[in-house]
Amino acid sequence: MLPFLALLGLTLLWLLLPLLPALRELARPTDVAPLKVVDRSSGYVAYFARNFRQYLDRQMAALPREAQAGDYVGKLPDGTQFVRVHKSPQGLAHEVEAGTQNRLVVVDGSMTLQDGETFLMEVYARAPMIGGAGSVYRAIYADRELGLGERSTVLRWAHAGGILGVGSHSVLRGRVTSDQAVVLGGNVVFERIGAPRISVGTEHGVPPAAGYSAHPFALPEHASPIGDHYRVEGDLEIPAGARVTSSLVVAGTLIIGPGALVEGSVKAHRDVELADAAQVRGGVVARRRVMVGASAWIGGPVIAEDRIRIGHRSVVGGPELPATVSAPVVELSAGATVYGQISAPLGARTF
Amino acid sequence: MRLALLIPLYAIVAVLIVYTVRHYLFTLNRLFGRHRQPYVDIGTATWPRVAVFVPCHNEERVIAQMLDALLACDYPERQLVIIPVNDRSTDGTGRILADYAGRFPVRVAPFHRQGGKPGKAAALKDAMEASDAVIHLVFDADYLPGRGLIKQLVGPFFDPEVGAVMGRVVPMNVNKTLLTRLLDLERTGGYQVDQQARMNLGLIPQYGGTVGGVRRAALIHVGGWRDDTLAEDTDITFRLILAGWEVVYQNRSECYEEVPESWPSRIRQIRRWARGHNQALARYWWPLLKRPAHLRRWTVLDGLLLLGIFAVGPLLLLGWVLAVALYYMGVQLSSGVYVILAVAMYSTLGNFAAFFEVAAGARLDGSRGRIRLLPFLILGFLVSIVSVSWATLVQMATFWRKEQRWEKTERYRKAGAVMPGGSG
Repeated sequence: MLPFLALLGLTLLWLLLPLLPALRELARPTDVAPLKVVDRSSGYVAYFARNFRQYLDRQMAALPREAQAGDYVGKLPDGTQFVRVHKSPQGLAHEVEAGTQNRLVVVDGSMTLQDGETFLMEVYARAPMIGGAGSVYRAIYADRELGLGERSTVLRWAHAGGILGVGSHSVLRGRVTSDQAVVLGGNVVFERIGAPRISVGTEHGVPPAAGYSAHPFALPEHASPIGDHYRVEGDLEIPAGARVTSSLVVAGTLIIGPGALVEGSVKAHRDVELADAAQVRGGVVARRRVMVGASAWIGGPVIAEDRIRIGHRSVVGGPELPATVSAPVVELSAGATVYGQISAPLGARTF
Repeated sequence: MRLALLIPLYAIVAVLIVYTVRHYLFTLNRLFGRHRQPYVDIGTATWPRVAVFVPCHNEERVIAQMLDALLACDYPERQLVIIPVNDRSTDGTGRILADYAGRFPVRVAPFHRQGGKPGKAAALKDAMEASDAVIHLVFDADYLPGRGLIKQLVGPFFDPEVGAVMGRVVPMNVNKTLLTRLLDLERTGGYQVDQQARMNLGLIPQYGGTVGGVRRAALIHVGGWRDDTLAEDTDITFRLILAGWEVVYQNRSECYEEVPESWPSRIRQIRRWARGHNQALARYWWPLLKRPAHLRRWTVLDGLLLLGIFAVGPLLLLGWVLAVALYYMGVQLSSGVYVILAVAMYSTLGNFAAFFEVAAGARLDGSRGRIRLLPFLILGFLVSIVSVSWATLVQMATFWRKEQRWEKTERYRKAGAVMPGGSG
């Protein structure tokens, strides 16, 4: 009997051995908090900028009276080093080597900064500010207009209450936002921009509709009605100047000819190509690429799983029609305008 | 006689192998494949009019918190109407809804049902007429949506092909019992791996009946909600897919839920799911197998496997019975090293496919400690297999009954509980 019990005990111990971590976690839980749900406010493009502004307001309010105005070098109540310049950027040179600021910078008066400076901590501009060429910023919050010189680099985020101008050949990592408009120079690389208006160079406004046909375009016979849209197997080309009155889903590639108009939304399982002056009043979705020609207009969101190219003077959305352009890669030609938001996790570029 | 037992046994083994391969494909896709979430960055748009339906039958413990969470959402107020569907409640639910309707007369418009068929599907069917909003979202009364969730769930509907959208369900009462911790792990595998892999691979993510919604035009196109089903979510998923619509899953559209804290409640819940899912299997396996022109072969296969998921439990039990019977009949299936290798391979890979999936999901979520509870999942699986098998047998034995009994899931939350993270 004893050998049997011993064997049984050993077997049970052997069985329990791999369960020891589980039993320990059961007896003394170490990981029982609910999974942290992503707070969608973190998806709000100006999220970090707003948080920084709130942080700074709290810190500034707690400063002694003599540190509230004028040029000042000192520490915030939480110990962060900071410098404030009031009338000229000369104060920034105080205790700084080789143009590298390793302290928080507050710009109190309207001014233009020197070229080639590096800001390792945030910059807060209370008045209009123009950054020098070739400067590097960790992050910038501007209450009013903000201009970034050519070849500027922003590492985390930038926000302006007024118009935010970005010099050519700049690189904007993270989120860039403005309460009014972002105007991008040529060859600017960025990831995410949100503003009522985003344009490459001069804004041209929503292009007028071309002289499309008054008669609706007859879809191919094999097009099948599905609820509120039509589905077309294979590729579809809408001829120049034609008018389509419904939404479309195309199983292949969709080509919308010059000056043609789609009054609904469109989707293609491959590519969507809008020729010059074509218009889509709704959204445009493609499982691969969306290629938009010159002076075209899309009223709703533009979504692609591979790449989006917006042509010269083409527009997405409108002053009263905010929209999103989202794809892993986005390319914007000169004169392109987006009213709303551009998101390109792998990088967007202007031409 | 032996052959009559052997053939079904081999068929069952074949089915289990297919499901095993499916588990591994999904898990490997999530670990190494491209993460597909094309609509998640739609943050700015001209937002369409949305109705949020909240079916509630005796939900006085949770409904106020749910309405508060919905009212705090950042969706444009003019474009959002909240329609709590008071389904024959006998507790204080009606009074709470009247209070909210009085305080928010434009934003909260309760729909009261005094009679009719019981159950969520019937309630939704009746309430659907109450709104002509373009998008109909549905939340269960115990759910707690975050501020941005409505926009996130509406974003995919800018794609004209999308008929339904499903977000991710995250248990909030994880720390209550061993069961809640196991359900938390199960949800991790189900959403983080299964649903997202289906989305990545262009297969059929399932609309789950809550934390999601449907396009009204699509709903009308397929005939609206059916009130003769216990799983209106699975039912609508397959009707939409068969009719040419797309169902989309968004892993980052997360919402807290309350999972059952007691085994009896869990058993009732999974029995209802099994009966509803089996109804859908009976209704849609043949239309799916006929493969409408717009569906790929892989999509059809995935759809059939999804439909058959609750049939696996009874099949597995039947397989065990057959194997034992054949053993006592003296049947030696085969001998030699290949059989040993096959059995060993299945023991190490096949049996643990589901565990691998859950572990991968927990890893993707960045969870560390909870993954140690993985061996206890066998307990949950065994309970599920028995419950589902019993429900299936009862269903088969009473197939002529058209009336389906609806069993409501118990609520545990106390009034005034705070949403994890404190934002609720």
